[in-house]
Amino acid sequence: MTTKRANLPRLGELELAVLEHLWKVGEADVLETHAAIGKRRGITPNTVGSALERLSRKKLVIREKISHAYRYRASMDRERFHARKLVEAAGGMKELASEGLLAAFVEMVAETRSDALDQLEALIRVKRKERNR
Amino acid sequence: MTLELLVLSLATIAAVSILMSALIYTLWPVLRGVLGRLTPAAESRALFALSSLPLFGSVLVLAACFLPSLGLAIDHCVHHGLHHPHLCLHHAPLVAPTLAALAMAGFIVVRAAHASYRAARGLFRSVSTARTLCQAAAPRADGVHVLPKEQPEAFVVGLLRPKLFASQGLLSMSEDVQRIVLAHERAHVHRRDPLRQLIATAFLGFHLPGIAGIIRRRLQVAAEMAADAHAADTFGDGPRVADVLLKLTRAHHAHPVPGVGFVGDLEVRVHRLLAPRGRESLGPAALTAIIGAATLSAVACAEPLHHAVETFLGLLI
Repeated sequence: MTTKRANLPRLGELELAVLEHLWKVGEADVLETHAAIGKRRGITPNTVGSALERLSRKKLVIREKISHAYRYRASMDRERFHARKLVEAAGGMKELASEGLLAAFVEMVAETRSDALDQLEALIRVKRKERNR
Repeated sequence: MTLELLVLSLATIAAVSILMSALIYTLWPVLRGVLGRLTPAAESRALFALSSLPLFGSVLVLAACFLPSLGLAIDHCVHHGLHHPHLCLHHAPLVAPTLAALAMAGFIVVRAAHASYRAARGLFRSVSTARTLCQAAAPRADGVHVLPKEQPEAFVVGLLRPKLFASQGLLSMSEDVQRIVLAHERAHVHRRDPLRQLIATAFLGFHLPGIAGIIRRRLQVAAEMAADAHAADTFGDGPRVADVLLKLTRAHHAHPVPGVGFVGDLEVRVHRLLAPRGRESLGPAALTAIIGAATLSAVACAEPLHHAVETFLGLLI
């Protein structure tokens, strides 16, 4: 029996930026994270601390108390996070594509016959020759 | 407005919209030929207008039917006779709503509810999918979100602020392929094709099922062809865009995704890219002029239109 894996929690823009920072540096505390991403946003260390706490509750970061401060690190690597988000989006993409609400260069579900492609390629070659004449 | 008049008005919208959709279905072989002579962008505009015709056309006819009772001829109902229902703000409908009238009014309410539900579901799905994809794909400086995928893919998701996604597989292909594909996708962003398609899908809820599917599919292909034409204009080379289209389709064959195929669309797009230019255009101004002329005609013919619709309703219900 297979069990359906729960979707990853939805993240806000700041939470995602914090997670990106942790993937980059490995681990950091609140003040280090604020210095890296909070100062240029004009937000306080408390706001960054709250974002880290929310990520901890969502089980996307692991915290460890060292001396008086918590240090945080991501619980899964960037590639795995992105891959799972892509899988989560796949169902929605398929539905949107069937409704025409996803505009793709090549239809994602296309099954084109190989001989039809050969004929079209031959036609393009003919047209190119005509143009170059 | 009394309840009887409301039922009668909804029955009018139902009857006229079905009639208009049936007319489009009947004339489709001719319309298809006319659409084929337009530029892809003009074809897309014309198809969008056709998708909205049963809804807006029936509402326009209903509005025109009420014009005589807005001061043009106060006793028009008496002149016209009392043997059928009346679309009049002064006189009672005279004929109590029959089961047929109630069924037609119910039909249009159900169609409107279904169209709204589909639009809301599409809106929700677009927003949530775009949000999830944005978390899986880091944006580049040029606004392209890069998906961690080997399969070459590029697409646009989102309604009001559509976002462009491209896979790492596509971005590792030649510069030429990347530029053409991204130009095509930027055209979708500029044209807001997903939003157009969503609105058209809601309008198509007022068409008969057969013709609704035909217009919806043709509208999707027209949007792709309009984006292809934009890429071809940008690089001044239709065959080059057609070549890239085939190259990417071949790349998809290397990583097949199970599903339903549309072989015809690829062929249509390639043939259109290779065809000589000089097609007829139907700009927004021309389309506005057509809609304006139709509205003026409805106003000018309000009296006979009013009587014709009442007689038609009398026969139906």
